[in-house]
This record gives sequence, structure tokens and C-alpha cells, in this order.
Amino acid sequence: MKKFKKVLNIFLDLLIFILSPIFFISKMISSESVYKFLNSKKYIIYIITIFLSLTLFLLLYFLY
Amino acid sequence: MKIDILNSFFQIYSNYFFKNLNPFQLILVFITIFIIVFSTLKLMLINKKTLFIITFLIFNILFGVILSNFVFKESELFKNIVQFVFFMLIPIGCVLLITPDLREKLTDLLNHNKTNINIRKGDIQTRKEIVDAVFELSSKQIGAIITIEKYQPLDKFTDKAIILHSKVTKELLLNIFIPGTKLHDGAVIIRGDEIICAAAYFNLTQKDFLDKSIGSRHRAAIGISEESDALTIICSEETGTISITINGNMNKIETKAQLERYLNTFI
Repeated sequence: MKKFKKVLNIFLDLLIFILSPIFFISKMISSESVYKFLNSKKYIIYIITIFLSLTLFLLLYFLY
Repeated sequence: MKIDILNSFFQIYSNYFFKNLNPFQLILVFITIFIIVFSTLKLMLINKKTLFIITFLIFNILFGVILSNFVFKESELFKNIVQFVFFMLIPIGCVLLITPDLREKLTDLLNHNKTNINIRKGDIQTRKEIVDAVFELSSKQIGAIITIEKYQPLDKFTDKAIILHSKVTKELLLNIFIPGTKLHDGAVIIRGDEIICAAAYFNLTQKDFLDKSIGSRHRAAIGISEESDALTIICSEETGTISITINGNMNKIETKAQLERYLNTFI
């Protein structure tokens, strides 16, 4: 079990090292202040949804 | 073998999707995208952990697509490795998203070797205050659970509890556990000479062979002693008996001297 944990730890550390830039960006986005801002007003989520879905729709429309 | 998920997906539909759609169908597609984006955002805002996991997954997919389609466009081997690593994480992320238990276990596993080196030990006065408070609670048959941290920080429990950061005194401990008050139900966590928090809730032990008469307070104490190296003092509400739990074992305490001896060796 100890060996398995060691191997798992090494594997996870390696994965974290490779993915550290994405980890860093995600940690920044999911910080306390961002979470509070997103939850502060109800209409914020609708504005972001419209903006994101429009971007995604246009991106897909022009790419495919 | 070429695995290009996004391209192959749209190649099937590209003949009649987007380019050859009438306005009504385009609106339908937009509504579908809107619903998907909206439900994802709603899921993200459940708590900070889900926000982190979903943001991580989105960036993961973005990085995977960019790396495989633009950076490693020429090399088939690198492209496949990148796609394997990045897309393999999607099902793992989804599983972690719907199983909080697994998420907690994984965080524990990652933080297992992280011990608090700058641990502050409680002095003689603190120990005396704890012993006096516990025996007074016992004489009045007031239920109490006091956890004393050792090397492993109990931050994951303190985050959800009522933070106090006050000096350990007999009077404060007695006041916290008075029945009917808001803080009396949970545990008090002590670090050094400080009461870090009150009303902390621990996971109950999963041991099957425990006596059925043992209540949830004692089960929680055994649970925390299994998870960490902390020492927990429990005072029974029904009988007033004092017990301590350490490393998953529970011992009964008869005298003040016995409890002092335990605390002296522990702190």
C-alpha cells in the first residue's frame, strides 16, 4: 500500500508539473474574490452566458 | 491512429451544420449552446471546488486543442501524447466533480506528508485549564468534544467552523458547551494555547465493531483520531464519563492525574 501511495504521489506530482500553468490559471479564476463577484448579482451570470455562448456560436460558425 | 475528437465530430455534421442551416435552425443551435453554457456556469457556482474543477477542465480542453492542432501539428507522436494526457483528464475531472468523498480522499492523499513544522505547543497553564474545564463539564453532565492538534493541521475542519482564535480558558470552554447555545454541538479545536474554532464537525468513524450505544460525539472523535494525529477529549452527555481518542483508539479517563499525564506526553 505504501509503495502504491509513493507511485501515485510521483505520478500526481508529474501530472501537476505538466499541468501547472493550467492549474495556476484555474486557481486564479476560482479565487475567493471571483467567486464572490459571480455570486454577488443575479444578472452577471446571464451576461456572461450570453457573451460566452455568442463567442462560441460565432467561433463554431466560422470554423465549421 | 489519428484521434481528433473535435474535428471528427464536426466532419460528420459539417455538410448540413452551420453553413447550410436556415435562420430558424441557427437560432435553435444558439439556444442549445446557451443552455449548455448556462448550466455549466450554474454548476461552477455551487462552491469554489466545482468552480476550480470546471475552469480547470475548460482550460484543459482549450490547451489540448491548441497544442494538438497548432503547436504539434506536424508531429503525429506528440499530437497523440498531448491528446491522451489532456483528454484523459476529462473523465477523471467529471468523476471528481460528482464524488465529493473521492475529492476529499485525493486532497488528503496529496496533503498527507504536509505537516506543520511551526507547531506551537500548549504550556502548563493551558493543560490545567483544559483538565479543569473537562472535569467540571463531566460533573455537570454536559456533553463536550475538544480536539488538540498535533503536527497535522486540521484546516479543512476549521474552514467550516466558527473561528475564535482566543486563549484557552476554563470559563470559555464551559461557556461554549452549555446546552442550547449555537456552538455547543460541534467540536472545539485547540492549537497550542489557542482555541482556533468551535462548532467543527468531523466525519464519523466507519468501524463496524463499535458498541451500538456509542453516540455520534464519540464516533466523530474516533473518526478524527483515525484521520489525523490529533488527541480528542470527549465528555459524555448521558453519563458524564470522560474518554480520550488517539490513533483510532478510545480510552476511558478516571482521574485528573490520568488526563494530565496523557496531555503532558501528548502536548
